[in-house]
Amino acid sequence: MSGYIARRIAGLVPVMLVVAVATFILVHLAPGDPAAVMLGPDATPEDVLKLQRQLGLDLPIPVRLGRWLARLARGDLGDSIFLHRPVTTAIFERLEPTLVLTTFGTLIAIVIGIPIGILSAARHNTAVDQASSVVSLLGLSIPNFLLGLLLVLVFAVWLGWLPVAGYVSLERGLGKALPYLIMPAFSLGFVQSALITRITRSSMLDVLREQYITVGRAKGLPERVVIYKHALRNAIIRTLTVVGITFAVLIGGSVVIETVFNIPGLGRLIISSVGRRDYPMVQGIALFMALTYMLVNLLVDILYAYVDPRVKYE
Amino acid sequence: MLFSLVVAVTAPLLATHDPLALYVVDRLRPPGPAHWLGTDDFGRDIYSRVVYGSRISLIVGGSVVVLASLAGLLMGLLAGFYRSLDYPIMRVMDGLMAFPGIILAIALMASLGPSLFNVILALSVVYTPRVARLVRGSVLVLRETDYVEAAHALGQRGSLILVRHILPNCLSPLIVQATFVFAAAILGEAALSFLGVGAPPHIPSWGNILSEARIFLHQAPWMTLAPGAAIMATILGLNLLGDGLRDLLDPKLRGATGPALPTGRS
Repeated sequence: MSGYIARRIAGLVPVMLVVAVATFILVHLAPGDPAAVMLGPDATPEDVLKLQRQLGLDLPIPVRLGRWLARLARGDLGDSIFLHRPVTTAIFERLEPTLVLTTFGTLIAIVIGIPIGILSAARHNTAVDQASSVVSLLGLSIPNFLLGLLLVLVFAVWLGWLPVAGYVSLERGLGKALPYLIMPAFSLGFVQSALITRITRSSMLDVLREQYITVGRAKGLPERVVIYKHALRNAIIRTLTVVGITFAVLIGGSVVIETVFNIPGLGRLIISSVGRRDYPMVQGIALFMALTYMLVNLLVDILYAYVDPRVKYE
Repeated sequence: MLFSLVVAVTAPLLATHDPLALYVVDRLRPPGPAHWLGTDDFGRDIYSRVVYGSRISLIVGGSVVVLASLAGLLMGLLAGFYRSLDYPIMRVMDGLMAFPGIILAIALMASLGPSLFNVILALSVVYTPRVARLVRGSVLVLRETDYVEAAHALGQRGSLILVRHILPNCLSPLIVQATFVFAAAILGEAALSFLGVGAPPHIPSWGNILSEARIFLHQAPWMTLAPGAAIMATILGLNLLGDGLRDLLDPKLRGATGPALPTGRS
């Protein structure tokens, strides 16, 4: 079991390397000289040269790559051009809203998706099943920011039940923070819940056809036990994978939702950084999000190992 | 069922044939029926803009599908067939997939600059690994089949086997995946443009229209609802098409080559 975990972690290293190199390439894809960009249009050629040497920009690419990787290993993502602060600091300052939003969104996706998926499978081909299929198909077809805009239109502009935009930190208490969180989290989570519903449903249907289910029913077990104890346990595996992917999708999706609802998280930061040509910030956030995603996947894989006994014997 | 799928897809896209009277600067944002979907803050007819936007979406979606499919096909074939290439290629693909899609696209757009071509390029980079993984899965299964073994025994060269035997059989799941990539690309462009890092602002892509409409959500909700409905209808049609294609192709595959090939969306 711990061998499995160790191997999974070891397997991550080459991927992390690719991610780091990819980010390096991204930084250097930008047209123009970073030093010139940083100093602005009034800089003299001597100033630019001086900064270049300082940043090590006159060194050959492999050397720069090596130095970049070494700095990464120490957790140094460079300095933000605009904010004049280390990128890492800026990221951690803005982390809470994004994290809260993404987690809340994932929860909504799971809480809506799994039960409906189970219900659809259990009531296969009935009105309930058809209805949820239609709703989930619609859910998959709507961009999350559009859903957000529609929710704002209905609940904030027309009905006035919820605030239009903004964010209140959780430290101030769940009650105060919740009205600001509901719409963004729902916009984020709903699309994914549709996906989760589908996967859960199809996975459950596959399992329900298995022999041991028929045996259970023949034994006279109540239907509820058959579904929850036996079918669900096995069907949940595929759903777990989707949950992991969901988190990644939502991290990305939070970028747009934060813009719609004016939430001061990482998403808004990356967008404003693009506008300000703050390349270290943009690439730093991208790198951070990629690493977070990989971490979440690792956790899901470990969870897998607990849920699926077949994995333990690898 | 299938026919309704096809109609559902083509109908929203067929509207491109209509005229594009874009810059009617006369009036400023009244609602309703003189202009079918109203006008925006510059007095431009929203209906025409949304129609023009469908052309943009078609171009972007189509180009991304072609690029990502070709690149992904190449990577997948190479990785699946030549064991020595498998590890390096797939690690690179995994690395690219570690970035949430939008984030990678934003980072690429930041470096490349705003233009429709760059949007297509960025989105293609995002979706190529997913296609590659799918193709590789197919190749791994097909590699073990009898007819490939036979071709090998007859002395056919590896590369020839790859192209003449394996490639054609990879195409079915690829086509299904392609419809979903098409839909995702349209969504991706809309999101990028909405955020301001996608198509340049003078291009009436649906995302751009939505971002302009956002400020007027209170006073002129039709500015948002029109492109929104267009996006939803198109994506819905594409999703239905993809599902229909998958149902059509999957049981056929299950019979022909043994275990069902992976066709799930990822």
